[in-house]
Amino acid sequence: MHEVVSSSVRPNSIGILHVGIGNIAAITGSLRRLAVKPVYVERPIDLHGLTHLILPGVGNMNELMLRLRSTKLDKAIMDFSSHGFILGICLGFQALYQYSDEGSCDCLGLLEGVVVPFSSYGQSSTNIGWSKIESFPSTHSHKSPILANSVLAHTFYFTHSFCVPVCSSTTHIVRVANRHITAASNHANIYGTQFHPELSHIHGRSVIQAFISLS
Amino acid sequence: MKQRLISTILLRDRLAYVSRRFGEYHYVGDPVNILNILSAYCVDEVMIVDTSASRSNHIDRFFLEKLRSVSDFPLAYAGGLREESQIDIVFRTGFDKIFLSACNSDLVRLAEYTQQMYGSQALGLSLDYSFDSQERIVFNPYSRKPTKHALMAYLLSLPAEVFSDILLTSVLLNGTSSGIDVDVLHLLASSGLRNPILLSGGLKHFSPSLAARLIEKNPHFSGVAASTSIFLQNYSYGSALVSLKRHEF
Repeated sequence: MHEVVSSSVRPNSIGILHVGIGNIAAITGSLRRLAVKPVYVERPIDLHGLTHLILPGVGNMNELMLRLRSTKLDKAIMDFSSHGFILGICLGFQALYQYSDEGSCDCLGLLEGVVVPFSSYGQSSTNIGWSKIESFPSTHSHKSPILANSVLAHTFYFTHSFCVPVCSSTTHIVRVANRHITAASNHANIYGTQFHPELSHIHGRSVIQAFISLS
Repeated sequence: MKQRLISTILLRDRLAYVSRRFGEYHYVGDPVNILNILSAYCVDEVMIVDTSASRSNHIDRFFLEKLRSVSDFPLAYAGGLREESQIDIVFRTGFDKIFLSACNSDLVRLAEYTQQMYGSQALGLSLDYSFDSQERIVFNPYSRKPTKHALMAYLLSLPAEVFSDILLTSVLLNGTSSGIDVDVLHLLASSGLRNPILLSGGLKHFSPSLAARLIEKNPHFSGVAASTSIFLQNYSYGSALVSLKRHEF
């Protein structure tokens, strides 16, 4: 059932990174509810003609980066970032940063910052569940255009064992045990969410819709 | 972070059932329809337990894909996972998490594989237990018999750090709606485990006050899993769900 038709979306312009890791089916389902058929990006050439690329969540960082390097998609995504919009979700979001403690590996480096174990922030080893996010008054005072103020009244689904401390690209935070971590980021045309919009019912879908409507 | 109310769908030959004390299966409906209803409820999370897969050693990939296609919420899977390739199939269909039984003879190998490929947030541990006199003992879901292992000792012998959620299911209370085993949380609180904890078995009502009481017992309490029939047959429970979803912890 398609609830929204994104008339501004050009056919074959929305891609999902597909290197055998990540919750591709759930994001595909979300896009199909928005009447968008995604292109699966398995090789650098698949990026040709795309305007938007989604890096999915669910996976291990070390394995993801190994696969990106072996397919040369790491460099291709960095090139794509100069003109296309990128949305990283959960693992895909963390991959946008410089370095991750998960597997002790370098990541794409499109955003400044590092990924650390969640256990260093929260009481638990893993952050799982639904939570509201809050705008973060960053020094740049910019707000992410994919997160309208109206969605901040609702909760989003988080599930992660690693996290990104608040940094220069942080636009939204989530509170854990009286501290806060990055819930969403934006720098230029690079966007990221630690939560899963594709699993967060209609309010999550509105985030994806706002992303694919960016031009 | 709110505590989660997780709906469990027991799958048997592509139909949804509920069980009582791990026996007495009762048909409750078509799983696809149930997921559509739960989506309308804005359910927190759904766990699919495929008992057919446990018997046949076959993961029903096409049906799981169908279930994923109607679900815009987190989906976990349990049942019949004995090989790495089966785990790959489940994640390829779009499920976000698997639960491995604590009695799975290949638990450590499968858990390490899942952690390395999909991350520990995608891996849960399911531990069923019954009672011997006053002591909680591990129940083996494969043999459908209680073991001689004490619950806490067995749990602490497992590599808990590779798992995200730990789901504890009381066989005695399963499907009885006679109240959940609150005291087991107190037991776990002194164990030093830092995993989010889910309880299952016996739930009849879940209110913010109960959730607050459970948090007091153990700060790692993360939610409850309950049969889908509770969602479908008891409207007041739906109200409890709405009430819970408004409550912040």
